[in-house]
This record gives sequence, C-alpha cells and structure tokens, in this order.
Amino acid sequence: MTKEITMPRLSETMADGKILSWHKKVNDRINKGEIIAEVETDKANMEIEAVDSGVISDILVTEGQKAKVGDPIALLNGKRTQKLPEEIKAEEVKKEEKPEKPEEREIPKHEYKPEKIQIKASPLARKMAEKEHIDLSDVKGSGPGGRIRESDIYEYMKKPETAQEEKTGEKPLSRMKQTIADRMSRSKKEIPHFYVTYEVDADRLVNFYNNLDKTKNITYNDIFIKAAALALKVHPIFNSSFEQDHIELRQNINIGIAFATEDGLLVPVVHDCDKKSLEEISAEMKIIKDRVKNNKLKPENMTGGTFSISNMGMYGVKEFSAIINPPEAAGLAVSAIFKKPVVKNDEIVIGYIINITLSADHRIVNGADAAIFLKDLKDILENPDNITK
Amino acid sequence: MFKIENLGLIDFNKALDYQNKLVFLKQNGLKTDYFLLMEHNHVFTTGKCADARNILDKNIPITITNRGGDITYHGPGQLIGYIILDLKSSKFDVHDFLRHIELLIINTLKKIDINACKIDGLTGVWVEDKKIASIGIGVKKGITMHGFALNVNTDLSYFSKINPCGLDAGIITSIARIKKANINMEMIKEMFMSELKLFN
Repeated sequence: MTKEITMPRLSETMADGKILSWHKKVNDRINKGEIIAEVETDKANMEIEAVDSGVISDILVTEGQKAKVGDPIALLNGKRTQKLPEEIKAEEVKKEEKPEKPEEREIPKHEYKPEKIQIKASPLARKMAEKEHIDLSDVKGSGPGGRIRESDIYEYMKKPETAQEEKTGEKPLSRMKQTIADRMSRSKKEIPHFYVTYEVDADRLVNFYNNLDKTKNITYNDIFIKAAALALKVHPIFNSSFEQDHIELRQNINIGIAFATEDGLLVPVVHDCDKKSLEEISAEMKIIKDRVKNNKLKPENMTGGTFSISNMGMYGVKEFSAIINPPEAAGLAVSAIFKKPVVKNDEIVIGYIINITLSADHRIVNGADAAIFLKDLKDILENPDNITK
Repeated sequence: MFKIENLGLIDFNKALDYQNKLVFLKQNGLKTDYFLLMEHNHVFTTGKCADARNILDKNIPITITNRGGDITYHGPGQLIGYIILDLKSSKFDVHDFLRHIELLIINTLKKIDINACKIDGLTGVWVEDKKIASIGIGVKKGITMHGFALNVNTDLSYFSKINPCGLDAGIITSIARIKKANINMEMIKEMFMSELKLFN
C-alpha cells in the first residue's frame, strides 16, 4: 500500500521545513529509524528519520524546496513509476526489434504528438503539467528512460518565454521580502486602519516648486517630508506608537519614504525632520537615494521611523491608501499632481490638485483627530511659503 | 549537567572533528552533555542551502557545514559556543533550544550592562538594530551540535566580504564596538559558564 512520508513536526512552533538534502533516492529501500533527509527549520539543520520501512517510490519535494508540516514529501511503496535500469534495458532491446513504420517517420516533429499514456512522467510532474497546461510531449525528461520529473517541468517553464516564468514559475522569496511580507501582513492584521482623504489645492505648491533654486534639486518628496514634519510637530499623537498598555509619544520626528526596489519595499528614514531645513532634508534624501540605488543603506537609514510617506505621483496615481508601517501610528499616501476644473471665487477655473490620504491606527486616534491633522497638513501644502520659514 | 571545555584558539575543522566525535559518543549512549567554548582562526562557513549571492568576495575559501543558516565569518576575538546535548532527553524541542541559546547570550550580556534582545523571525541576538551574535545548529539523530558565535573583540571588517546570514555586513556589531574598548575574553567565558543553569 502506498504511504506518504510527510514533513515531520520537529518543534511545536514549526510551520514548514526546507529539504536541504535527500540521503535516499527513488527505488531505495529504507528502514524505520534510518536517516532519509536533512531539513532546515529556523536556524537548525535536522536529520529526519524514516517512520516506516519500505521502498521510496517518489520524491515529491526536492532539495532546496520547502514543505508545510504534514505535507507529503515522498511516497513509499507506491506503484513504481520509475523503472529499474535492467527494465529500461530490456525495453530498449524490445524497441529495437520492432522497427517503426516509415510513414510515421515522415510526420514533422512538431506535429507529432504521441498519446499521453506513452509518456513517462512522475505523478507530480503530470499534476504540474496539467495545472500549467503544458503538453508533456513537449518536455524533455531527465529521469531514467527519459522519464519526466517535476524538475524538468520547472526547466521547461523557465526556458521558452521569460514572461511565462514570471507568471507561473515559483520565485523564491529573499529573506528581505519574507520580512517585508511578514511586517505588512502583521500590520494589516493587527492595526485597525482607517483612511481620510483631502483634495489639496496645489496651485501655490506648483508655483513654489517652480520658483525653487533649481541648482539645489529639491524634490516634491522633500517638500512633503518637511510639510508632514511641521504638521506632526503640532499633532504629536500622530508621531507615536501603540504599546501593550499605553501610547508611546516618540521624541523625534523621523520620517520614512517608501522606495520600490528590486528586492522589495524599502522605507529609509530621515531623522529629526522638524529640526532640519528643507535644504538639509533634501541633501540627506539625495544621499539616501544614492544608497538605495547602490544597495548601501546603513542601519541608521533604516530604523527609528515614526511616520511614513508613500508617493506614487510619478506613476500618475490619482488616489490610493497606504499600509501603516509598524510601529508607527499613521502614514501618508501622496498621489499625482493633476489639473482639473475647480471652483474658485464662484468661478470654474483650471487648477492643480493633489490628493493626500492618511492611514491611521484607530487604537490611537479617531476620525476627527485624523481630519484635523490632515486639514493642517493640507493648509501647510496650500501655503508652502511657511515650509521655508 | 554540562561538562564545560575551554578549547582556546582552534581551527574550525579541528573543532568540527571533535564535535562529531562527541556526537557519535552521545548517539551511542554517552550521558554527559558538552558545552565547548573557543575561538576559531579566520574562516567563512555556511549552511547547506546557502545563497551564493551572499558571498561578495568570491576569492574567500568557504567551509560548508551541517548547521542551519547562511554564510558567516568566524575569527579571533569572536566567542564560539558549541552545545552537544541530547535533545530527545532534554525538555526542549529544536525551536525552544534555539530560543534558549538566545536567552543564554542575552542574560550574559546583561551582566555587562548590554541590553540585548531577540527578534522574531531573525534568529540571533540583537543590540538595538545590530546583530551581535549568530546562531546555527545541527541535529544528528537527536544530538545537537554547533551553537553560537558572539562578537566580543572580532575584527568586523571581515564581515564585509559577505552578507552575513543574508544581511548587510554593516548590521554586525561586537561588545568591543558597543563598549568602545576591548573586553577580556576569558571573563566573558566565565560569565557564560555561570548562566548555563538555564539549560538544566
């Protein structure tokens, strides 16, 4: 009877394990208690022992792959899908004795689709092929007798079009991406988010930006950082974090700016933004951007944030809301500056508009607090001369 | 109870042979658990599934081991602690064991007024946002080996040849860096020995 060898629970808190190496291969006989593989969980490399005796008929999780606790990693005593070397030999001899019909040979190769039953493939490879709509006859098998293994399907998926790989291939997560994924889902799960949006009249802001000394290369982001710092100074509750039994007001105003990088989302931090001038913030941002580009961010660039800004203006996004970057109390989403007809002094004119959305932690502040804070930020952005004062 | 051995400065591979010998003896019934303290000569080691992209200087020789975790550096000034213990007859499962190694280091650092902590999902010991100790163990038939590496007076520049444990080298710190002075290694070893009761 076929039995599954499953990823063992090596610890109470173990969720999954990565197969580091198999000590056995398909068709190997294993005895109860024998070491069959090595598994990595957390920072421990553990040997796993066979729970039952029998012959391994299939390996489902290959080296370097992860499996959840309880998921099958190999099959024991199954119908052997992989033939023994002597059987393959016997088959080849048989084949040679029976020449193929000449007309069959003339069929062009790409049109020649043998029936599925003739193709040797592991059950997992078949399942994967079915799921990914891959014709097994197109796949070259690397197993004995040309048997198709799951790794061949991966190879096949990787090869022809890279676009296909992006869509269907498995992309292992870097540790950084795993950490980001954890933080983001923890934030959404634990923090009761709510959102407030204001439409900011950006006429003066655009004018202010255009009149800046261009040699200093000050960006809109620099302006948003300074503006947010001014608003946070007046509303310290938005510069806080929720602790178990109290709200911790943070001493410094350290603002993070979200960067999309190849390795995932980075939120480098400019410290003490309220104490720095727009020029100083801008100069620091330049260094940070450079470090992001060269992958040289220092830990101090990455820690101590008390508020975060995400700007998608460069992508022309009209409005969006951000996930709060824990343990912060709130985050600001800044959209694109765009022109639209607006009513000014009872007249319809074309004006610059920018939408800003605050995401806030409802355990710390309520809607009215957020509206007042954001209204102040809107006022600062609508009267940007105050930013340089 | 642990038998504590101070091996002084010893090559990684020589210490590995010794660990393997103790593991073998324990697999065959030896009751004594071992806590080995030492320093290694310069060596870069890695777990089995290391990511080659974390080796920045491709010219450095790498030793592949059966501990968990990615690439790291060992060298003089770094305190190595290996624990050879029968997990099956202890009160720990493998994750508890890792957490207790972290606690052992945290408790020891507390004695010299360094407030260290652990971070969920990033095994090791941290002082604020810097990593001061790395942990990686192997378990062979229920017997643990390898353990931790604590930077006491380590020359941290060696870490810049790699992404230690997949992280940026700038994230590594040492007791000496925090205290702005070199620390007596033997004193640190003594402090560890007195904290070992944690494992009883």
